[in-house]
Amino acid sequence: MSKDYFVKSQGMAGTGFKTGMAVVLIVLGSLGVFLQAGGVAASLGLGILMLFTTRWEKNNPIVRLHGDHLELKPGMIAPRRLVLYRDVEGVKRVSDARAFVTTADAKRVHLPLAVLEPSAGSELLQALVKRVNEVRDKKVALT
Amino acid sequence: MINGKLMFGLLINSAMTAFVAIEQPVLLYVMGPFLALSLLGAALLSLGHARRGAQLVIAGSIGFIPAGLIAVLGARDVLDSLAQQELEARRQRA
Repeated sequence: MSKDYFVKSQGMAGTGFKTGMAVVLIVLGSLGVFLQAGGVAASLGLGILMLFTTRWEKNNPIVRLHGDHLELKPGMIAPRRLVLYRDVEGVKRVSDARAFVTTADAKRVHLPLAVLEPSAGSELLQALVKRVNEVRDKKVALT
Repeated sequence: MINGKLMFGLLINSAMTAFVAIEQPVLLYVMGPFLALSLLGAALLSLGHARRGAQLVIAGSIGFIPAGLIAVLGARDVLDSLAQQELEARRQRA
């Protein structure tokens, strides 16, 4: 059984922009509190919330390839999707930022490649296809 | 099925509603239904309807965000553990 493989959000598209945005909101919110401007002060809470969710995304894998299944958890409150490799019918890459896994019950599971560097996305898809083909008799190809 | 995070989150939601009821009674008409929804979800959860209950807790806690996030995370943990159980069931079927 191969070791777990995982990817985390990376770069500007992943958590970089959101961290910057959170800092701007916190600074604005603090100014709002200081100047007693209620509307602007509200951005303090939003900024802290954004910083909190961004830290979660930075520290937790969004896609994890286990021994016999794929686990997806793209955000702190996003649902956890678990797909057995033997249920995977195909892996399709639509663009650099979009890819789908189609399963035996005709469901499409979206892989969040937009928050990964393009090379990390390709690596993830290749690792996924390799693991799927290890457990399936009928091989699948990355299309 | 009810976990600590969910309990604490519901407590925060209730405290916020009580605070609002004292300070701005008119806002109770907005927050009251949200609290009722999340408490109904918790009741369903304790009665064994885990999926529907957790979904109702999430829907009800949206009205309390950002503090409502705690209850949302607790309910999400319940749904994630259900997903894990379903995976085990699919494994057994093989």
